[in-house]
Amino acid sequence: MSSAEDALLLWDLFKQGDWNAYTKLYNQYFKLLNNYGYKFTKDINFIEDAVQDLFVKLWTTRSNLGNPLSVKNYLYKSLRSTLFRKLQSNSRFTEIQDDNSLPFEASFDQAVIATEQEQELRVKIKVVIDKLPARQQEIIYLRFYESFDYEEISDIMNITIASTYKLLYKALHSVESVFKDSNISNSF
Amino acid sequence: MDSSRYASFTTKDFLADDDFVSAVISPTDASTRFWKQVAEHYPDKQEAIAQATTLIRGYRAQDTFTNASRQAELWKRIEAEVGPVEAQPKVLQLRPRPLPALLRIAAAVVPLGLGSLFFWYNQDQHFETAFGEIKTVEMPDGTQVLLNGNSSLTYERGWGKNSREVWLKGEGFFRVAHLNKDSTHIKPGERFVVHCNDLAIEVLGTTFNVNNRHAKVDVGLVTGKIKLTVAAANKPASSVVLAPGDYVEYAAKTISPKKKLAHPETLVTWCKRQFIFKDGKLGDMLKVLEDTYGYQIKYSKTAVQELKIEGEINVTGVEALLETISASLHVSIYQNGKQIIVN
Repeated sequence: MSSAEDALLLWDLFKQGDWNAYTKLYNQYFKLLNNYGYKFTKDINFIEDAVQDLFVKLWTTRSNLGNPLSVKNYLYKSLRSTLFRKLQSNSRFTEIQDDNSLPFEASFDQAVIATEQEQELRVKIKVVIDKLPARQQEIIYLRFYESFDYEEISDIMNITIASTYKLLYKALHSVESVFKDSNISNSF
Repeated sequence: MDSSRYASFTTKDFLADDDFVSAVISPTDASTRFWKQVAEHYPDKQEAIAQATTLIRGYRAQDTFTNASRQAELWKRIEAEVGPVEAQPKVLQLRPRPLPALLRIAAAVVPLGLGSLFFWYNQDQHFETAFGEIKTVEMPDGTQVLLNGNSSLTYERGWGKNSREVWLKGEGFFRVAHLNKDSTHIKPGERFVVHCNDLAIEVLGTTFNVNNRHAKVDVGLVTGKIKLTVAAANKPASSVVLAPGDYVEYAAKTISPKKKLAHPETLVTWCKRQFIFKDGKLGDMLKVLEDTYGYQIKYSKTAVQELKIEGEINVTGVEALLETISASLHVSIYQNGKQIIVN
């Protein structure tokens, strides 16, 4: 059985009020959700509050929850909207109306040992991606880090599938410039 | 799999291709073989394939932030907010006098409808706990209050219509049902107020612990947000807002500066009859036994009360607490029924 199917079984038990299943869901997704949250803000308390709110709401509304496409997908989507909502209510007096304005930032591990060429390329990738608008950075993350498919990304980011393709292509267009003058040998 | 469509692919197209991306991220023998074939079949695509692969792998080499060290801690906060309350069986007691055992079971089983009818026609609702007793009070709005020993909770008839107000003596852990939907428009009935003498604790929906004993009120917040207001006759009311983990003491008309608790969930360890003290003084530790368990403590010398156990102790049950104190502070403790003598 795939882990996605396992997760859906767990989800079903949790919806019936199984505290154990709920605990397992938390333990399985805590780290992933924190990592995702960290892309939007470096304020750890803020992320923790959002994760807490998310899980408290899951439990209190469990009997009204449906069966999501995938559990991971659902949790990402929920965390994302919780973060945006919290951010908006924290700054009710500033004019944040558009959720596109939440920054998104991937950080890179300098400690990973890599060849000089790889290292150089990694820096280039970071420079190029850091310059992308937040939503383009987010779609790159969901696609290449989390390996969500188009349908899942459109669900998480709350846009149509057509827009998802468009957004990814826009982002990839900029990313291509990384290879302007580098030679890379075949990797397969 | 048909590979002819790849003949016209650019780096960008490979990066947008589901099959390609999953072959790079989670390769299988079959997928690796397939992409090797594609690369051999279209030599002019080799560079694009290599670029796309490098980009995905390079991007995935980024930092991960797992926050793992906080995983257990945050879970405790969630558990405190929605977790099963580990108290004694729920008893809805309508009179201070304990009900006979049989009636008690009946009271728990009788459909709520009857119980709430009783609520409406009764005057002030009053709940009390005896020394050493822990009880869950379930209020009409779904709010749960866990009362520690030697404590009482009172609220007025017709409760919840215009406001939700309760009066607490002793110690209680509140899990307030959140009724407010729009934080910019708070209706009177959505506000929940706990009165402790002249201190009012105002909340929307949250979990917190209140200890109102000896003309002193300790308030610790586990989740949410609460506002404390001190009523004063001659001057405008002063108030303080608490965030999760904040802890204050109120005595002599003054609210102490906020302290941040590293482990707010330990505020409610009494629910499990656990005693947790950090650098606890002998006098303070035994005071808890007087307050919630009804023991009388006698000291041969008052200075003994100042002895301190460095570090943290975490024990369950009165006996274990006494043994720990006696062993670590080298004092003799004699227990005779409800009397404890410390030498």
